[in-house]
Amino acid sequence: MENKWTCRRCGVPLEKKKVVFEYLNNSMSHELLRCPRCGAVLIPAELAEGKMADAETLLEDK
Amino acid sequence: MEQDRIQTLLGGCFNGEPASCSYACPFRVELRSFLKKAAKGRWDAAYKELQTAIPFPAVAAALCAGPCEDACQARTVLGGDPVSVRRIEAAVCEYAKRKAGAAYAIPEKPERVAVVGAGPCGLSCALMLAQKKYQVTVYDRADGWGGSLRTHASFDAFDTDFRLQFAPLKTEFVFSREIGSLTELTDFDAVLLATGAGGESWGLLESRDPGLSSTSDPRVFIAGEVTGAPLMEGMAEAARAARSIESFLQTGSAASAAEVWDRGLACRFAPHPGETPSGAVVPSGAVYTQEEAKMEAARCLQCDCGACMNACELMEKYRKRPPRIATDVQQDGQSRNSVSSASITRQTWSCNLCSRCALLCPEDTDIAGLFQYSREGRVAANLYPPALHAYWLRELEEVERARAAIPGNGAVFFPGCRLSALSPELVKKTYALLQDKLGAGIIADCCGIPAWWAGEKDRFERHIDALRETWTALGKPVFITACLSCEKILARFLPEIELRSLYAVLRELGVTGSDMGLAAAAVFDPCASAEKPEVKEAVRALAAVSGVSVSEYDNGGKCCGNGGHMRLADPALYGSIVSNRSGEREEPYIVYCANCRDTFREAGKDCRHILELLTGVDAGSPTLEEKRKNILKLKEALTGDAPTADPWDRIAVTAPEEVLRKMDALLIPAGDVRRALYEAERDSAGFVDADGRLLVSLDLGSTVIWVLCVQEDGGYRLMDVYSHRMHVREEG
Ligand code: SF4
Ligand code: SF4
Ligand code: SF4
Ligand SMILES: [Zn+2]
Repeated sequence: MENKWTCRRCGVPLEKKKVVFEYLNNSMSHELLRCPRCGAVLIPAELAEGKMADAETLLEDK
Repeated sequence: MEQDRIQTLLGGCFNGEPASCSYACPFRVELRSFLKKAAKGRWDAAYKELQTAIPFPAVAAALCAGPCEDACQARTVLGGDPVSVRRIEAAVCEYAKRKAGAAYAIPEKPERVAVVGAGPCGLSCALMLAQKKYQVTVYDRADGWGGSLRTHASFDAFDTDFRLQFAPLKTEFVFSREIGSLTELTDFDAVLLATGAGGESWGLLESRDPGLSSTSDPRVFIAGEVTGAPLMEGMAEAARAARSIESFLQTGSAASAAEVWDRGLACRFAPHPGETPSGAVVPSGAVYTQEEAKMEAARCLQCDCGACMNACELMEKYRKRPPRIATDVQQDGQSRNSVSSASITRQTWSCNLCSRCALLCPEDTDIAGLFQYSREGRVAANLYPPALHAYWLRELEEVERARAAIPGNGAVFFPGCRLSALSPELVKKTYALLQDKLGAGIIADCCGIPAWWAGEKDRFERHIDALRETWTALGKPVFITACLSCEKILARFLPEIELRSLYAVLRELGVTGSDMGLAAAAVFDPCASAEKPEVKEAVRALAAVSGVSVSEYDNGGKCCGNGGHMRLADPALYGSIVSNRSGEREEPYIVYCANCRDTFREAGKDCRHILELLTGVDAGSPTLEEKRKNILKLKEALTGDAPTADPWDRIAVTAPEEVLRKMDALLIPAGDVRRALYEAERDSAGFVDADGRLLVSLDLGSTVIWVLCVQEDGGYRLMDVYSHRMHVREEG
């Protein structure tokens, strides 16, 4: 997802940043769009339903 | 996980154990393997299989009474002819080329063993000991071997077999020598008395241990026809006595040769669904031809119970045998090794917990119980994906908040939460009827099954305790239940409550209804109906008196798909279960479980709840959100307490069909979407892009939902809704 999003609260464009995710006592990092001011992170559908869903399944199956 | 509990749940499952025929066989021949080889014409390999268990295969083939055939499941279960094991054995003895006895390349052992009696039993023990390289001396008063078989018409053939088996071995035979007393044998480290029927045992027979063939004299063993055993049993005993003797020679005690082998298991049979009886191949001559033997051996069913393995889509998908499931459940609870192959998480959470497998099981195995136990263990250890059950646990919370109880005249209607969620109107009408005819009250609550299925034992127990309190406060009335799953849970966890099935009650009251446009239909019984024939019957009768032509159909206790709340654990499996169930009959279904109705309706299968026919209320197809609100509406109708509106109720939302369907599949009620939009509006949270699209999220605890939309006419038009279970870790 290209960076055309702005944070509604802060009115600033989002920037790419490495973000750490946690699930079932495991963590992993991924580069994501994030508001440089308030830190709100945007998770796009492609990620939630793609890589993240795959990782969730993997961790759940353990 | 407790080993004992797991063993109890696995019960008498005998998957992977020898077949009944092998248990019946005195020699414990692995007949499945033998017959498989014979069916392929692998005569040498088949012969070898006999030889490892039977000292003299030709003798057994000719003289065994064939208890394996009596226990053959082709006969006992299917009612056809048993597999002609003895004829096949004779054929194998005929066609095998490599028949010489086994000689192992192991060093000679110095210990000396005397065998008194060179009949088939004494020889059996002598052969086994000689193969183990003990120094064996066989005595017989006759001038040759054979004992009771010396006068048999086929003795020549037996004599050939004896020679064949002893050929590669070093054994000393002393014939024409009668042993008069055990003192003549003091030079020997051990002695086997196989003196034949009525033979000498120097007073030791009474002290004989039948399992070990040992006696009160630790050096002396007795086996064979001298013990009163028939010939084949005697030969088998004598062959096993060789192991006791070896154990004695090695450890000073025969005890370590003790084995667990219960002949009684010869009457434990697999169900063999779908197999048909057949007749045995008739031999064209005295011995089967090779082709005949192969054909007859191919009749073997290779009996091994696996009846449950085809019980459902789950068992078919994983192909995991029950003993393995038990082991995995046991180990899974012990460690959470990231490379563990024992992991059974997905299967555990994908079971419908319907117990159809138990209906097919000839034993008492409780596979659903194993998965239930596994869920509880995972939850207790906090090693589980909470998102899989979060939706239903929240529904349960909503129901608990909307509890209502009105006392009656010794009985209360217990509609269960899903029926109330489906249609408060329908519940009210049914209640009015019961009130009118029986003076019944009502308890609007859940039985707690969502917490039970989620493996949340404490949560479940709290719910049950609360329900018990309600019941006590109402003067301990009889429950008239509309849902058999409720009934199953209540019967198990609140056994003090007397239960009656609503449908049996309505039938007794002579209630009739209208067909609501269903000219013909099939009744789809819920999985919890398996042991409720009277309820199945009542529903069919109620449908018939409502004018529906009900076709003959029994789904065999299969679950509609909703059971165990497994749909989020394996959405694809859930989809195939529901579509299989929907397709079992072409006619529309009449159901008597609100969950079945939801499940089929969502899958596009035409169906009605029997109570719709009886009350004339069309329950429609409420959305997840409407179901949630219906619970509150029922409470309002019963108690007058108006539900407090949620602030996000005023948020107007429109959505295309495919987004609505996706929300249904993900179990995201519209209320959650509204709440996400409401909170984002309030906090001016979320993200906007140049096209005016808005993206907001809501953290529901175990799941985060995202809503992509555009603002339109004072409301929102949804473009996509999605969710994930991972959480962003707060940095800093
Ligand atoms: S069918 Fe085969 S495996 Fe089954 S009992 Fe008969 S011989 Fe044994
Ligand atoms: S879904 Fe039902 S039939 Fe299948 S394993 Fe679970 S309890 Fe048994
Ligand atoms: S039906 Fe399944 S659980 Fe029951 S004995 Fe057979 S293999 Fe075991
Ligand atoms: Zn911001």
